[in-house]
Amino acid sequence: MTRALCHKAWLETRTRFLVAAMITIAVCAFFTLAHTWIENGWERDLIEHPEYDNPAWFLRAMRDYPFFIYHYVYSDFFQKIWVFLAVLLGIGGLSREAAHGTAGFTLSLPISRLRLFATRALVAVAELFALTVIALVAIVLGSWVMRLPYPIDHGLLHLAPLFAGGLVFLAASLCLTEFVEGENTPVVIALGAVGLLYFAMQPYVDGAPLDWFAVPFAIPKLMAGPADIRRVGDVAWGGLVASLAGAAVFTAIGIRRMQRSDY
Amino acid sequence: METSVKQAYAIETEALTKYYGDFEAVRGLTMLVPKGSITGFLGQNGAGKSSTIRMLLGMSRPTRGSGRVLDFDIANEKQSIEMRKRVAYVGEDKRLYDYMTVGQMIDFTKAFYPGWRDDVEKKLLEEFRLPLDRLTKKLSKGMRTQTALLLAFARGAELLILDEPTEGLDPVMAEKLLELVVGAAADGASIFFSSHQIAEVEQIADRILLIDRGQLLLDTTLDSISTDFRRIRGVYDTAPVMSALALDGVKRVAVDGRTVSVMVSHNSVTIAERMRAQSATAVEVSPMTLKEIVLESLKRDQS
Repeated sequence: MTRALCHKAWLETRTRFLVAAMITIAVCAFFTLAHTWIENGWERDLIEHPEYDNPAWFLRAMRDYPFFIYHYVYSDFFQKIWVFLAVLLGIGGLSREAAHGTAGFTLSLPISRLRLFATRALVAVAELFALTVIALVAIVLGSWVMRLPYPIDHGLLHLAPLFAGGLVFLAASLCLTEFVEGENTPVVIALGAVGLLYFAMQPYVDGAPLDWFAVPFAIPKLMAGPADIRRVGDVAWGGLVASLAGAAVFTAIGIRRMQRSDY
Repeated sequence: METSVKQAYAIETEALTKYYGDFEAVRGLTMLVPKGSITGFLGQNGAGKSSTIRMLLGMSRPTRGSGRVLDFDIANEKQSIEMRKRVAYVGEDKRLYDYMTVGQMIDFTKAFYPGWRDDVEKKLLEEFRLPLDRLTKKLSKGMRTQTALLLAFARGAELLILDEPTEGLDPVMAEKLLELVVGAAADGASIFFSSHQIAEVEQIADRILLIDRGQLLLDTTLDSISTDFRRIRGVYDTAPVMSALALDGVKRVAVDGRTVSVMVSHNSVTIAERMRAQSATAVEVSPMTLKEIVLESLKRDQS
């Protein structure tokens, strides 16, 4: 039964996953393969437009390739895409099936609602994990092709918090779809909320010191981790545990809602 | 003794009630569906049929009251899961997973039913000529219905619950579906199907439950309709004493001028004699069709 449910969850999300995998490969490969081209453009800009007010990370990103990857992949551009992908992988569930008209068929099967939810969540987590691996492979392979030295442990130490942070957004998405009925409404709400969060957090992503009131929402910074991460001890474990706890809370709320809902 | 009595019923509800916000969709519904019967669950659109079925299958929770299906408590999730191993359900819209092919739908459903009837699957696949490799979203409505029926009938279920099974089907397909239902009943399954099509209920059901505005109006058998239900018309010279007609079996009394029309579920001889004794000059007793009974019952409810 679990196998059948997992297969169902996979078939339900496979298009989204494959699109997510292609986006991940495209973005990660772009920042490795196009690094030299981007760097040359920056150097040209520095000469031609010395009046430009460049951000704090700019000069270091020009000289330090792992930092360049850190900035564009783990801290800023790809992280935002990553969060959107995590949200999309979490969309589904019985409310969406009710909008589709298949909830009756699913609920007539001899399985608990908890098992339905757990299987769907498990497949989504597995897909997110697969995307993490795909991102790492794309970065390492792209760097190798371009003969740019890139330490794998740098990738691992940054992708781990990215994965953990992604779980929070995935769980939030799983939870949201149990509260909001309709096929597309949860997607719009979830992506809108993520967009707002990143809009509000962008100054801190760009390097501003974190204000006290922004700490609970500082998950983008937590997912990026410190720029000079070198060892396992450098990872913000406390923040990661908080992320996982947040994911657990969202999951528990989603389960509770699903258990009590009428379909 | 009590256990054996309970096991005689495929479905039992006691004061089953469902509110959606302030709207009372099902109002204290108490009904019994005997095992082995084909029970038609009649009612107009919005009468509460689907709400009742959803509660029976654990899709929604009763606000009040209780229910048992195949002797399993519908409000207890563990028991509901055990019950659903023995029950097949076809919903009104018969929607299937868009992202699965017919073959994948069959494999998926089969995984949940150890007693899956491969022979039934094969027979219906041949009969319906379903394309196994076609996505269900690309099936016509008729084919989607056929797939849904295959998925239900091959489960080898003790009880089939069908919600408006012929809704949206052409007459040929509807007829085929009714034949399948009768075939499943002949194999020993109990059938509980909702409908607002009186003709199809009359065609295959042996028991009728009529519901309106969430309340049970009628609980009878097709046999009883032909042998016991009667319309008695009496023409009076003077105004009759209506309280004298408050007799066992009287379901509805309508007065039109000097004519009194009484719908009775049984006891028609006694009631006709009482009307004659009340100085009715002409008393006529005639049989009633299911359609007439349903329409009369709904009139009463609306009055």
